[in-house]
Amino acid sequence: MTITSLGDQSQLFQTRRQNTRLKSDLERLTREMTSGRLMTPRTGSSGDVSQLFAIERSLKALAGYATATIEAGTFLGAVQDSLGVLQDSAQGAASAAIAAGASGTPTQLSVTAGDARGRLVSAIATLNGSQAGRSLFAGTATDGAALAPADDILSALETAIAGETTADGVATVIEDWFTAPGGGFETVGYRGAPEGLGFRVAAGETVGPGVTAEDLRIRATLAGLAMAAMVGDSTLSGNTVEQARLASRAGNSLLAADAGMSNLRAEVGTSEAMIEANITHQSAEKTSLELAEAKYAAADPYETASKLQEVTSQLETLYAVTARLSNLSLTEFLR
Amino acid sequence: MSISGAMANALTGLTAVSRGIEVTSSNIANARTPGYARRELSISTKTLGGDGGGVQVDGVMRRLDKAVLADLRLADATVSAGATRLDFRDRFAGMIGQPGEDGSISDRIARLESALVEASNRPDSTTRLNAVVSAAGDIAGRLNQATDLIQTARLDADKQIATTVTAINQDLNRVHELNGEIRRITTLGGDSSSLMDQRQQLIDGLAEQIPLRELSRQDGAVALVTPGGAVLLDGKPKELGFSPVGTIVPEMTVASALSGLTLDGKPMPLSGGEGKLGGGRLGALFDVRDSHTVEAQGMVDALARDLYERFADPALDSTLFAGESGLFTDAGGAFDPTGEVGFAGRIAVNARVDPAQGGELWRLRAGIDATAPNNAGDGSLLAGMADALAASRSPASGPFGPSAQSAGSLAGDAASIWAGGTGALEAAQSYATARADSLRQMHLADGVDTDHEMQNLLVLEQSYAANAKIIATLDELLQNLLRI
Repeated sequence: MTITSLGDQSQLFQTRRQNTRLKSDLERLTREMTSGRLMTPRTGSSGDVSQLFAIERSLKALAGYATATIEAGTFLGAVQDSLGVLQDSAQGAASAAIAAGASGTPTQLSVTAGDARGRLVSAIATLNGSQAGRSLFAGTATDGAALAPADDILSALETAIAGETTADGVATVIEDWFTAPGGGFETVGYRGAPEGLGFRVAAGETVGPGVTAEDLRIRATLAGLAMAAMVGDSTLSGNTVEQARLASRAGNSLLAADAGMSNLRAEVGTSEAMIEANITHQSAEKTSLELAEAKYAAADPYETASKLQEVTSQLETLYAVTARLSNLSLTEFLR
Repeated sequence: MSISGAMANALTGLTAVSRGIEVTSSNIANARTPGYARRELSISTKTLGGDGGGVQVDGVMRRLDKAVLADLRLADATVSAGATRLDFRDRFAGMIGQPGEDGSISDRIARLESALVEASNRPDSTTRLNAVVSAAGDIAGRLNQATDLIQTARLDADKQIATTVTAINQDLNRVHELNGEIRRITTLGGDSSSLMDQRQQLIDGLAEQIPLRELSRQDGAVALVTPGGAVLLDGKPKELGFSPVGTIVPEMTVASALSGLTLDGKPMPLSGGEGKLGGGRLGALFDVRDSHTVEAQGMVDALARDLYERFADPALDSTLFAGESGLFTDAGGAFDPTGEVGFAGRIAVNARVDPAQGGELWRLRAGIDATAPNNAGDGSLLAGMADALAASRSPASGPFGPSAQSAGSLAGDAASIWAGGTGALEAAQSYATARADSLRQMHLADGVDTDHEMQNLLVLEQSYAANAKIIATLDELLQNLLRI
């Protein structure tokens, strides 16, 4: 007669196995609770995590572009400010020069000339300005000044106009010096790089190339200022008529250049607007990427908390049952 | 005479009860011993010339369900094999990285791209150029580390195979010796149960390494055969042979320099861990050494090659000539497609841009072969490099398929392919573990049940008292007879 019996070890094995399983569940749920991320992302049965990786890469790339865009915005803001200073200065010089040319008094002419000279020097200083260690108007050669020192430019101009006797002659020489290709400005005056500075604000999208001091509209303004300054120069000294004519010519030249400056500032403004648009677009993209990432990998706190509660109570039940079963043996009753 | 007959019967009863108590006590003492099979006393009526003569002890039986044990051994072998494979796969998956982990290969490629973008907007900044070199160094470093992990795992597997083969040979010899002893004791009519317990434990250990079937032979001896048909022990133990290597490099394969398994000198090939001697932990070690690690190495080598080729492009960096290495080098030189195996262990950042190796940071701006720095604000090469990383190109090698992808997306693909393979193995492993657990439950249910033994003890106590009472009564009867 076979009597069936059940080995002691089998029950022990079973409770131990369940204990291990519940404890590892407990550990996993605790980690998900505290980190807010699922231990295994929701990827379905194929285990394809490439989507989640792609989202993370896009977020990192966006962070890089965000920095770049903000920096570009600051730089262009500084460029715009400098151009504004330049334009205002030129407008002031224009009205003074025209007035002096109309009146023709030597005192007024010499005062206007001195004032214009001062404005030319400060215009050159403005164009040599920098932002965060980068020259604003030197193109890609950002480690050096855009223009030669004001004294060098002025002495070059004085050398160029020596020997001229008429206002037209002086004006033509100065214009050629500044604006002719291969002229004095391009060889001696401008020290930067020919390419403007561009900014990469998104994948494949570049804002630029930017403004350099070689731009003809800036050169026209400088030429006008130089003409007004040279009214007080030694070549025409004593010749009040020619000086007055030069002053008028300078004033008109500055007025003509003003339209060009407004145009230039509008172009810089367009670039600034593009950058602003990019900043908005980037933050919207970041939000939507983060939402998509949450769909894959975020742990819902409510769900995790309730699962944790469930597992805790299961574990407690297991402990109670194990304690009870260990007392249930014939040996106990035979004592 | 019937009184002496009754006495003799009672005496046999007492003997049987004593043997029964001995068996019960042995069972209770070994209630938790692994490999111990519950003993049962086998008794039957003694016949003397056709008449009853009391009870005789036939012997001590080992109660064991052999079918369940055989299935359990096969299931354990599968579980052990799966665990060995998954161990490597999980460690390598940690190297590739998971989403959300900083430092995964995909993450590091994204950082390089971001660093290049930021540097292209401030090409004059030393900090940003350094960040580019450091990000590139991080990628090369991780690929190098992955190669180290793979080759260490191979060497490890090789060493473990060697120790396992030695242990198996020793165990086969021990089983053979025990066979001899058991046969001797059984022919003499003795109780060989404890030796059988020992032998069962040894065979359990062997069965985890190589799945085995136990076949009964004469007089309690056993033969060991694998399900694939190879005989390991039948009368005489066979010997497994294996020669370990001292060091391993990625180019070594089972065809070239790594040793296979031999049985008594005959080669026994194991592919994918299966074969005549496969299916257990030993087979899985071969699988890890020859197949999973090779797959992993191929994947990182393909990733390294893709990265190298994106930068070693004269169309990107006009200072380079055709075939010259760009931002990444193959141990300082150019990459040769025939030497792709192990490239991930040799990829490094070009010394010409790395200040720590005597290079100049401005070469990131001006070109690898540039002799003098260019304009400090010229970020076109850096922007071009960022574009090169993001550009879609078909990988030249590896398990990725022909579709064009960016560098980061290729790394994500690698992680997915590896996770897919691991997922399949994990599903199989969880099934195998569940099966092994339920078989183990059934096997343990056959074990010693202390309650059952205590009940037996109560019955035996009664039985002993009854037999003793008979003897006392018979003694009284005889006394009465003799007093007349």
